[in-house]
Amino acid sequence: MLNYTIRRLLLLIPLLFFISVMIFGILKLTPGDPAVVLLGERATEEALELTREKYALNSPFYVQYVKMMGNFFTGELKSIYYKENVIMVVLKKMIPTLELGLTALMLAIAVSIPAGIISSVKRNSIFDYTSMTTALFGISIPVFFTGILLIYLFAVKLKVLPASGYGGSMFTIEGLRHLVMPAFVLSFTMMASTTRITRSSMLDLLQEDYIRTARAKGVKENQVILKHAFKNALMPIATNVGNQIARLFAGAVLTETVFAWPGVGRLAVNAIFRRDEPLVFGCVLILSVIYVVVNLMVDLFYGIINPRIRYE
Amino acid sequence: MPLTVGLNHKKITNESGAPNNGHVRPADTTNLKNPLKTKIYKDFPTKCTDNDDLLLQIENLKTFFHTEDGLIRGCDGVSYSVKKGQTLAVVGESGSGKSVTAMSILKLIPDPPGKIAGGRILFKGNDLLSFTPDEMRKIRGNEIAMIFQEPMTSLNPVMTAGEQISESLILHRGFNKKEAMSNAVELLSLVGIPAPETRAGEYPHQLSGGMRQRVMIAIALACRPDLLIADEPTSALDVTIQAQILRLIKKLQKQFGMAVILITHDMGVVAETADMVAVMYCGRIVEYGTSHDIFFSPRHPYLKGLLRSVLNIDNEEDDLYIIEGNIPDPLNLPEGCPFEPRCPEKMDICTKQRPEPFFFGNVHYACCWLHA
Ligand SMILES: Nc1ncnc2c1ncn2[C@@H]1O[C@H](COP(=O)(O)OP(=O)(O)OP(=O)(O)O)[C@@H](O)[C@H]1O
Ligand code: SF4
Ligand SMILES: [Mg+2]
Repeated sequence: MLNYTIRRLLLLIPLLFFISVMIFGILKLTPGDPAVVLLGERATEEALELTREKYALNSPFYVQYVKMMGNFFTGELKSIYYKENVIMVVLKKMIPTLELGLTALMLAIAVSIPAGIISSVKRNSIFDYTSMTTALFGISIPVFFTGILLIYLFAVKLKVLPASGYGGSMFTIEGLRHLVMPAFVLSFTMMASTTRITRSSMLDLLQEDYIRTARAKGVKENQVILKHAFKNALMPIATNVGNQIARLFAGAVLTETVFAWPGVGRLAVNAIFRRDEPLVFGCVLILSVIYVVVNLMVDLFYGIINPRIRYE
Repeated sequence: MPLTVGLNHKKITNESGAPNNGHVRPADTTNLKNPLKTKIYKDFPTKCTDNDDLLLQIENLKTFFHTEDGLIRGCDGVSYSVKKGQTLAVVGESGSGKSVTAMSILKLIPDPPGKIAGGRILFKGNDLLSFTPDEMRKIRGNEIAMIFQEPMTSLNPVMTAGEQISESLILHRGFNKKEAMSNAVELLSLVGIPAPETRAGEYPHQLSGGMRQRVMIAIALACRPDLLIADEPTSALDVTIQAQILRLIKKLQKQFGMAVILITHDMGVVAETADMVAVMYCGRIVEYGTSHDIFFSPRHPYLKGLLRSVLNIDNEEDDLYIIEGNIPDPLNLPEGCPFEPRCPEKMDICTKQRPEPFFFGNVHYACCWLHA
């Protein structure tokens, strides 16, 4: 297990190398001159040239890449806009994003797993139809639409929740009030997908022979469902949740933009608009690291819940 | 559509013709030819309800599946009984309703699509069909246990063998986890698993097919049930292991004095283990009798064919007899005798009317017009 973990961690190095090259390549392919963005439309040609020189914008692709990576790791890669080390800029915005993301994640898990289990056990009941229809909406309606709808309803019409912005730490009343809508919106898609996966895996598992064995032993029905079936459903659910965590960051970009939430998602979007290349690079690279690490954690979690998996 | 099913349903339930309890004929032991197992024969009750030795008695049991394509009568008026400590073998082709009947006893038929549509299941004199789910749970795994056809998939992959055996001890005997686990280890050694302490901590995927079936037996025997239903416990296993498992079941049956319903395809196994035999075809019992009756005076053409195909009784030159044709589509059963399309001895009446049971003595009967 330890060996396996180390091996997987080492494998992250080539993977992240590949990802960083891709990010860098895409950045370079997007039109627009960072120097112009930085100095404004009316900057003189000399000034622009000087800036390009300063940020090595004229060197060949691989030189720029090596320089950027080097700077990134030594902490010298500075945001053009914030004039500060990109890692620090991203980390500062990380707290609101984590608050939003983790709340959404918890909310989604707390709602979707019980909902999925009940749907599977009471198949074709009103509960099942309602939750499956809701899930269909959750999957098909884009985050920004749900967001705007909620803002209109709760902030504009009912005036019970603030329309947008960050209210400080989530452990304060104000912080929580600001968090409710974006967290719900962000968790909605995830809820939908996790409820569906829970329901369908439970439906499959309840047909298994060992469920019949459990019943033949005289096991109580709720134990049959939770102990015998659900324990086996953890595997597909964990895969789904793992994927969802990754998508949470993608969703965060939209949600944070809609709700003016000062997190990494909005930071990345603004950095793109400002053509702040080092910051875009930093944001995407850090988000990618989180993504692959989460995936690794999900893989390792499999080993805990499924005795058939042995890591060598 | 539901209306038609409902109507059908009613009609079938009201139908008479299936034997009531199979043993209501006046005693007539004189036509017994080869009285090899006379003792058992005489022992067998004529009035079952007031016999203390009687453990389970199924009467006219009907279990139907309401599928999208139509009504499937998985078990259509089956009656049989099992005495304490005895073995009843249930034989018949695939799809003849052996498992459905057995699972109906524990009320484990998946609903939907299945429903027990009628009949009685008397266990120690009480009708299990009137039991609440809670009462039923106290019977399952405790007084009646079942081993299933598929050892590879019948154990929970995320629980250790020990945990799975412990479970019923905790449920029915009120043991704590530790007591249950030490009992589980004992049970594992009882069913002949070497190094039971280690095996108890292993997961099903670490065990071979034969071992898994032994674990299943240990689970079934944990609470010393009075009745063990073994649904083809060996058909998924290697031939050598098959014999071992059957021997084990037989040994434990003697040791605990439990009754066994053994479902099997294998007439050899029947000959070796059964006291009573029920031959099933298309959801019905077509012939029923003592092991001796079944092997020495088979009456139903299906049973005769079955015996001929395995025992090679009458023609040595023809070394593999096969009953021609296939079991009919359960959705379109013939109106008369279900065996008629394949029967070498069919008559005119066979296509028109369903044969009733005709008796040869107290218990032995066959549903065939030849014996009218
Ligand atoms: N869940 C179900 N839904 C619909 N039909 C079913 C279901 N279970 C059993 N049946 C039908 O009931 C009939 C009897 O099936 P059963 O499983 O009892 O046969 P069997 O005698 O045990 O055969 P095998 O030797 O293959 O185990 C079959 O026609 C089968 O199609
Ligand atoms: S009733 Fe007729 S068709 Fe059926 S088994 Fe007897 S002889 Fe054959
Ligand atoms: Mg079967």
